[in-house]
Amino acid sequence: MLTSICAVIGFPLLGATINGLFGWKIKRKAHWVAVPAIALSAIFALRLFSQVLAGHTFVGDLYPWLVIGKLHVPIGFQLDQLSVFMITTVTFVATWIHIYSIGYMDHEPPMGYARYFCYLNMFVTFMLVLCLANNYVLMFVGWEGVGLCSYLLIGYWYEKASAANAGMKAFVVNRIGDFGFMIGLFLIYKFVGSLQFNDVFAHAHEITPAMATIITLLLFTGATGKSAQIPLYVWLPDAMEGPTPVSSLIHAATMVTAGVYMVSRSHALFNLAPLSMEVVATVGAATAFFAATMALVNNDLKRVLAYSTVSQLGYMFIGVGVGVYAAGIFHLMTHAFFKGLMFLTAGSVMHALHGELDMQKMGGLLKKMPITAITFIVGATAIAGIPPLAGFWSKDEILAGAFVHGHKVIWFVGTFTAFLTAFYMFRLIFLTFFGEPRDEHIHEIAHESPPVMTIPLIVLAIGSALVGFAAILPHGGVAGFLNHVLASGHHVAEAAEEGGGVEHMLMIISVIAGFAGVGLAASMYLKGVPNPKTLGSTFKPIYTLLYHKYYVDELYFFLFVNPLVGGSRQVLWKFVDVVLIDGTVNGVAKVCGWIGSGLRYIQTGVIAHYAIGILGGAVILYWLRLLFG
Amino acid sequence: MSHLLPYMPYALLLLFTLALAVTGLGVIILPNPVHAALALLANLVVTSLLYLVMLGAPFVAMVQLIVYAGAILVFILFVIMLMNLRKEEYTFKVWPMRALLGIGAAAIFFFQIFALNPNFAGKALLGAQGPDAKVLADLIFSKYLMPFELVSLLIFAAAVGAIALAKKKA
Amino acid sequence: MGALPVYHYVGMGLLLFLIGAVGVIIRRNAIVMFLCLELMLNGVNVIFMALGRAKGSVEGQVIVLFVMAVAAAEAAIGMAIITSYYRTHRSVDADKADLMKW
Repeated sequence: MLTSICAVIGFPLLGATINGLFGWKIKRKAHWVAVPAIALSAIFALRLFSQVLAGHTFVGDLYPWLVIGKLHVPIGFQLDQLSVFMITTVTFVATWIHIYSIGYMDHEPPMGYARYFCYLNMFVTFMLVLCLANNYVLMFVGWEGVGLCSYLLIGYWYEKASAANAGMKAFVVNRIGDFGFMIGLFLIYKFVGSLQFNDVFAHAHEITPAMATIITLLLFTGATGKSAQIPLYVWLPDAMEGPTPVSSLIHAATMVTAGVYMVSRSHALFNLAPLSMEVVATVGAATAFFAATMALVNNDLKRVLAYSTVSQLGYMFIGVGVGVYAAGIFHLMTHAFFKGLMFLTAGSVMHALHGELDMQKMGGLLKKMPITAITFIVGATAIAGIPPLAGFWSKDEILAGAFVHGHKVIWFVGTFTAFLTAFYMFRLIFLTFFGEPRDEHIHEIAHESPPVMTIPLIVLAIGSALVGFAAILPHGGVAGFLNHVLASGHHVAEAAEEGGGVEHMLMIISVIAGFAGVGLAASMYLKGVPNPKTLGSTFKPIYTLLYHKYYVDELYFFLFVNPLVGGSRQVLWKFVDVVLIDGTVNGVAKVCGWIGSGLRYIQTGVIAHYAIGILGGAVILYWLRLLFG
Repeated sequence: MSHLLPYMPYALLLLFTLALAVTGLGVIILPNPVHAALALLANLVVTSLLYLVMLGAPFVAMVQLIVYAGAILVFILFVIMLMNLRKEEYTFKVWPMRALLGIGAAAIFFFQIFALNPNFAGKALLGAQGPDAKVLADLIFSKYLMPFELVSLLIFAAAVGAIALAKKKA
Repeated sequence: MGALPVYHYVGMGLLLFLIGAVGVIIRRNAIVMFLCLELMLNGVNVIFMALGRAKGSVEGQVIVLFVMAVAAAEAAIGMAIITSYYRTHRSVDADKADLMKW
């Protein structure tokens, strides 16, 4: 099994290495390296999945990496239900996105093309390391690695200032979260004495509840950074500056879910800290709601999807926060399918319209791009929670879990958010694909994408439609499978079974919420009742507030960025750098200059003087030896 | 006469020391470089005799005579002649401060090495035949083969360097 | 004939060495300075020979032979430098060769 694990990680690594080192030679053929690499990885992942399904799990080390005193950090892997679930999802979705990229990136210059595929493979490598690691340090390696690839890919069009800035923003905001994560790791090491998952979870009960709360809150800080939760979600909408397949793979399907995975992986710690769980669930719910409201009024195709991603990640955190980890991970998987799909369709639209992203200029694209439109509608239906598509099952499990565990408020917020989700998603559909074309020129140039792009769309659409049924497979479905690892979820399932009637009622409510959202969107954007424009002017303050994303970016600028920039300029630059550092450096140089200009008179150029010097030196050396030798 | 025999070594020592000192001082005192070179020649010949008579090393004495006194010094003399130095070039002009410092340092050096640290135990046998050329050759071509080859490389490099330096610019 | 304490020879060699050193210091003619260098080497040779003799070792003589070989190489290079210097400056005054000072 270790061999298979190495193969899963090794193929993308090999692909990244080849494209990275020889990209200048490979150029346009880079996908012939990258796609087989990731496809082979996916095949091996599926093989591992079947092995785990048969009950074989694996924990072991490849080789010791850091051995410093008591600290022992191996390159080691843990293959269990949770990690195999992750890697299968990641490699499967990534494979199709790689294929899609061939079509999407075909206008790129050759060097950039190879670079792009190199980064993409590298990203998958790190993501797999993150998922398969058997200790926190290796996980952190993958964690930082995916962050790096995310930065590189957001700033892929680095000649564009906004892209470069977005990359930096993502990196810096993630750094804040990572800081918390690292402190958390240090504390774990201090109180448990190991960073191996097995050791940590086995000895988790030795940590005092207070310390467990601190540790888990710090870990969660890291998760908020990577998984774009309040207050660190601000980087994700800007990350849409990257190529759309990147948004799809990294900023929707895989990387941003790393936080959810990490929290689930650390469930043994989180279970010790009810307060932290409360915080996780609350932050998740708040994020889900606020992000959804921000998506309501945005006109940028990709940004709506980005806010939707933030919102859905909020759902996942509700799931893990209320203790139904399996539901959170399940939603992670279904979300990877439908959100990956929707980003790809958005990319397809963008590709057809030469980069146009403003929904207000689109409309009536259904006839021009039928495959794109239909697959998008499938994805939107899935996210809106309309049965029997994927989103319905996973979202319902989360909301049911929240309700059953007594988090009634969170359940209500989640259900309301489901309504909002359905609304803004179908608003997007009606504005983009239905109605009259609002911009003749854009309508003219629109065309269906080539098969290399549409086939991944179709595959992922089928996936989005069907993966939800995994919930009702025998042996407890996905939850039963994952609960081998996330054992604490057992009683949840039991509780849900007991309250079967409640469960069904909740299901009906959330379905109604979904349909209500769709219906309201249809009425507003197809019939114009009530007219969105008049509604916007009636509730102008709210509309403006939402349109400016609650002014959070401005607030952060006011609170953090501007003081930092000002402080750096006035104190660090004008005083510390110019006066202290430059003064020191120049001062040292000046003193050296003085000494040198004094000493240079020794260099008379007269050989006799040097000879006297040598002889005198010999004399002095002799005396030194006599005195100290 | 026989009672003077124990003093023979010291007489020889005195003789050689005087000869070496006089010829050595000749090198540094004689204003004309040609004369200085001839003084050095004498010095080298005396050294060769010292090796032969007092230190029992006839082979090294011969090499000293042939290579040093014969080849190197003749070569230097040749260069001196070639330069055809004008009169003022070899005007013997000593800077008193420099001379004082040099002689002072040398005196201290001599004093401290020789007078303060007479750790040079052992006696050197006079005159008797020492190891012959065969022993020397065995040593050079076995234990000291590597330095020997390196020295040949050095001489080769020196030859090339000398040509490169002395060649007229094209 | 008998034997002499080896320090007499060491003193002899040292004397030669220091006469050479003083010569290098006080003379300005590059060729004479070079001759003084040879004198210093010769002084060192005497010491090597004497110590080797006193220890009953042949290696003193081996070293002397090496010193001679190195001296030959040195002579070749030294003369070449002096010749090329003389060619450009029409002089062998070492004190005048101070372009690199300060």
